Amino acid sequence: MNKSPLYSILFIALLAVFFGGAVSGVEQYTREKVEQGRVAAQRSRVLEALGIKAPESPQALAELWGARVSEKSGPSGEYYSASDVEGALKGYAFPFTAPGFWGPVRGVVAVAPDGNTLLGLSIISHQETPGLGGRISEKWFTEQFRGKRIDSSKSAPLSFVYREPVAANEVEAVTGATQTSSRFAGFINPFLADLSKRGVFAGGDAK
Amino acid sequence: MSTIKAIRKNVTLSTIRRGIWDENPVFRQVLGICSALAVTNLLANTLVMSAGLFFTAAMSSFTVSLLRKYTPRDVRIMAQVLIIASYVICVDLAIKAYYPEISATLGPYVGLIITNCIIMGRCEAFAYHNPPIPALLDGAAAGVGYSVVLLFIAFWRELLGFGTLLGHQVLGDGFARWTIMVMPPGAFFMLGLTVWLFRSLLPPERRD
Repeated sequence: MNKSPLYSILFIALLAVFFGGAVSGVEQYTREKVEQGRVAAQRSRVLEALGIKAPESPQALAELWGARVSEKSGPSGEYYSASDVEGALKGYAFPFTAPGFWGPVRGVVAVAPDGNTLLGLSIISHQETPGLGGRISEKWFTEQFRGKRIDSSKSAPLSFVYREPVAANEVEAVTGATQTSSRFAGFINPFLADLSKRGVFAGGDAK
Repeated sequence: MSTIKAIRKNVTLSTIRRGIWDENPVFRQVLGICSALAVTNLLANTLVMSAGLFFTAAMSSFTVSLLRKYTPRDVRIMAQVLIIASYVICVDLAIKAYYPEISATLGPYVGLIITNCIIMGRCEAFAYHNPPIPALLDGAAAGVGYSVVLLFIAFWRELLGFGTLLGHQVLGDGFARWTIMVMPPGAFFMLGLTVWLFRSLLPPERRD
């Protein structure tokens, strides 16, 4: 069917308005649910870093979060304070945004109240290549950080190696993803070294 | 009258049969391979992806067909992509809202349904020249054809790779998991074997 160019333009414009409107409608309708899912996923990752098993059901997760985690803010940004089952202080979790190869890597680091024992690390979101840099969000990588000592007198408390880790401060980097690994290491080391100087550990700021 | 009905029934059946078997998008036309490799290591993910593709293929064909008399030839591809993209974004939003965990593991693949050649192919080859109901059937049949092959691949990959089906333990602890099945190379092995198996079931003159 051949019509004038004007008709083609009008047709596409109308189609775009109609379908654009429909998609916006669906987006509006699902926005709240999507946001809830995003918050729940983030909370699960924070609990994972702290070494607390996150329940799968949204209600149980919200309850556990309300009972054991409090969201605080200090001079260096927001952080979380968590208690163990008996109510004693378990540790603090600090969100971070590290540079990746393709985009920002968002994650969270949890530290024991002494300020120099890592409780754990988890990745919330990243845009690294699936199967290569993307493996930084896999358990084998993140679980390595649990229980590591942070020697804040060193500029690089952790050493990322491309082999089986031997020394206590060594972490196995992602082979085949040197860009992601070295960027991540370059960010996380100063970040960790700086953590113990934060107010919460010195007994100073925001309680 | 009854002959017309019989012919209609015949055409309907052959449309469905063509999409699922004779011209199966995956093992006959070898389309949609990217996602066939990427989302088949867990049955649950494959089910969600298949449902998404089924819905998009059927609805896009239906809509393209509805608008076929008003769509100028020179902008028909633009119109088709717009229609497909709208349905895919809706599917993506629905999965994000109701299955956030699955959405995270499927990653960009739901969004990439937009460029899936199966849907574009059916819209361009069939829906643009046929009435809405046959177009809907044709799109749906292509969706089923895709889903059947993907579910078949995912069944074996999850079973052998994790010893589970839909997350339930099926094979006992004594079973040594074939880890390679859930890794990318396993996808290539399974896809190759599947195409070979299904093609060998076709009569020799149609194997080309």
